[in-house]
Amino acid sequence: MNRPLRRLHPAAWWIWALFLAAAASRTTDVLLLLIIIAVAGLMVYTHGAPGGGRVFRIYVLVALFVLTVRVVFRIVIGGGGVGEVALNLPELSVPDWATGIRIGGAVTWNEIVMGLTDGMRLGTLIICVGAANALADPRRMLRSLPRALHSIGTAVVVAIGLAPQLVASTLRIRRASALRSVKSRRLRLRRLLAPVIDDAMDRTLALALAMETRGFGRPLGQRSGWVFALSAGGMLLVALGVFLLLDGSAGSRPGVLMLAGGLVAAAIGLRAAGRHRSVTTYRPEQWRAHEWGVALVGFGVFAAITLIGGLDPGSLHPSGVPQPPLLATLAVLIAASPVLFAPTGAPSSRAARLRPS
Amino acid sequence: MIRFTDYSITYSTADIPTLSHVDMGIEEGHLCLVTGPTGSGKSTLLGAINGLVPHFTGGRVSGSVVVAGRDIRDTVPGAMADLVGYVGQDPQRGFVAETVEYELAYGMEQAGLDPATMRARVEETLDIIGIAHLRDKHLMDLSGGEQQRVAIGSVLTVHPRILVLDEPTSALDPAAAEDVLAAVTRLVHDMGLTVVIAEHRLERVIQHADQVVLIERSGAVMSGDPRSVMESSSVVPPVVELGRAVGWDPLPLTVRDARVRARELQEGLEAPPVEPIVAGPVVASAERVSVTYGRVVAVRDVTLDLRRGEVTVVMGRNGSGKSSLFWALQGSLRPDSGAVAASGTVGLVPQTPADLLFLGSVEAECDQADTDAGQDSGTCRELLDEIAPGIPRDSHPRDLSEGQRLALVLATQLVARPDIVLLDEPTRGLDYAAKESLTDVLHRLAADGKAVVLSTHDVEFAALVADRAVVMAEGEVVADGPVSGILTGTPLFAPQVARVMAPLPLLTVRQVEEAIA
Repeated sequence: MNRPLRRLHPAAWWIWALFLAAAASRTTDVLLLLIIIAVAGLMVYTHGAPGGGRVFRIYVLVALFVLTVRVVFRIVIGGGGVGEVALNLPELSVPDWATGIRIGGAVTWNEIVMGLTDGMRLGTLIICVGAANALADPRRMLRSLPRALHSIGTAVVVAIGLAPQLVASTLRIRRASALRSVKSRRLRLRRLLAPVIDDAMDRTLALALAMETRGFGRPLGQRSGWVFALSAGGMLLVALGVFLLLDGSAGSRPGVLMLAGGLVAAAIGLRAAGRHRSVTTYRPEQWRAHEWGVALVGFGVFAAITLIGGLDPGSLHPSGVPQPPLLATLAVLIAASPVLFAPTGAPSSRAARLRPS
Repeated sequence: MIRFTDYSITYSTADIPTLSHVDMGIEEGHLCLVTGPTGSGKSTLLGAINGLVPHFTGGRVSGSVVVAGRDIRDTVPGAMADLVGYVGQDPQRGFVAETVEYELAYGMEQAGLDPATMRARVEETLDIIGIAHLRDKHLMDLSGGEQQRVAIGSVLTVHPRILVLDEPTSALDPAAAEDVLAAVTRLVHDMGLTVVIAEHRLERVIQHADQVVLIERSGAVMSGDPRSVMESSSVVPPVVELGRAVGWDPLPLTVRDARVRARELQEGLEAPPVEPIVAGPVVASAERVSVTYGRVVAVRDVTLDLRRGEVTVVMGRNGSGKSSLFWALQGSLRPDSGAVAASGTVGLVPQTPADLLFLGSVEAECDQADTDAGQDSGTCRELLDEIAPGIPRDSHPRDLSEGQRLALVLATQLVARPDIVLLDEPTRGLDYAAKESLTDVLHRLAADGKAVVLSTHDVEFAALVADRAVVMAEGEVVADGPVSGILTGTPLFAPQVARVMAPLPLLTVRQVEEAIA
């Protein structure tokens, strides 16, 4: 397949990565989780947005931190498991009202392995979300929200942009505070906070004024009640459906039904609501065959893992030494297939200008 | 195009109207300059054009404003966006998007234009404003002049017929201001846009104006062609002041007009000898000071002596390291190399004086400053009355004018009796009268034996106030010497009077008068 010189729709990457995360949540096989991490990392390496590598690294660090905390907690306040003892920590005596809590004491290998697999699973979820962030800037996602949600998207974009400005003004004011050393301790906090809050208020008003003069929030048409009910109810169903699917204990059928029904209701509601807005999007993202491909690969992997888990639960939750289940491993490897066909994004306009014509 | 009919507005917090009985029109395709003292209602007049006043600000209005046939009473600012492009005082605070390209598109997205049109208009606007090279840049990474041009471009994309600019050059260095004004005049000449500009520094804009609207503090408004308004105006650029002083008729409005007349004046005048700066002993000295932020070098190897009784002005582009040098001289910024040795205390008024104010009234701020400096109660108030008499004691610091707020912060810094007084861009937002009184204050401080250092983009102010000028570029000191020598040396920094009187090194109207006498 030839690759067009354009960026993939951000939603395709997010769907792919989130399904990969969902697949990871279905297994405790450490090797399988490692393969999923490797696939996510490979995709970021080949298809990451500019600056995506830096974002991904932050998520990897967070994941490592979570893993460490998980294991340390298991060792310090877990305990009480059965099996071979790995460590014998001195046990702290706790007062009577805290019976049931154990600090220290004998730690079994089982405990440590459970902490490790648990932490690994959580870490993999975090890394998958990190991959989504690194593959497509979430702000691009906001730009392609349905028209009815335009105001919410704008608010989030503005808030993201305002944060660094707020940090800058706080630093400036902190430096200025050295010029008037306030002796009274009571006033010291006010000395710092009052100008920061004033400045933030000024900024907000200036921004509101600028947005208003540029036509933001022009009068809208009437919104009818059923449109609201449809979109809100749809969203609720989607949330419930996702919850049921991820939980997995009730089987997948009710979850899938709720998700599908919710999506349809929300789509109809949002479309009807959007008809009242006369807002358009500059350089809209396009959804074409490649996007379908990437999204379907993500969904396919999740479906395959769910199916394998249903047929042979033991293969995804090994009890002894982890060994990769052949089928599941193959399924996860398929998730890497967009490396071969997804467009890698247009070259930057600067590079285009440098190229001899 | 724009018609004010018996228009008055009174804000809810004020007893007297900000604008009263305005009757005037602005022709299509004209560049109209709105001027007047600080707080006289320039911004109010601009806001009335697209309905921000009173729809956004509140206030009681009588009379009417009709813009291209639309009465602003019947509409809201958002619905005027396709007709009036409005750029506020601090464009950076109004940015909505992340990068230049998407910022330009924002207004069109709101207007609901189709993607193909948007794409074409963004390209067209990038070229018209001359910012095509900035397309992918993050808005936070732009310089002041670039920000201003992007802000103008971002309202042009919806093809308005009127462009309203509120002090577009007040924060800019002379070169950046030239860039912005050149872009604006091109819009008037090539595209027939009607432009309304509010500006303190008349010398920057008046030569481009077709019409001048003068707002007096009383709220009365005078409108007419530039020459007739300038004849009776209370705020005039230096070249007009010079014309009045030597009795030229008709009054020259531009340096070019005045130069023709100046030839006869120059005959018989002799160049005054360049007097060496008479100043006291060195009170602070910077020795090969460098300041870096990460990989950016803000100040590079600067060596500078400050003397008692001397007023020094530091000039240079935005980002040339002036503020960092000030903070290093003040002592709270540790230089990465080199050292600052001061044999006295330092007071500093930062670029945003409001950063230092945190209490509810002028009186509370003054008392707090006295307590913190260990001075007798009332010291700060006395200083404040000397600098800017007549500020009500119970007024809130945020309600003060720019000049009054500057005076209050300066007073709180002077309470500790510093030997060195640093002011970082004190002239932003000050009108001619406020600049004149600031000049007097700084001269008095110098006469008291303090070393005064200030940075400014305003060459006219520098000529009035300073004995010595230091020019910085890329963190280095590129020129340092008596102000008459430095300011006449380069055309970019030369004040109007110096350009008129060249080659004689006369900088201010007073110097010319003295030379004649």
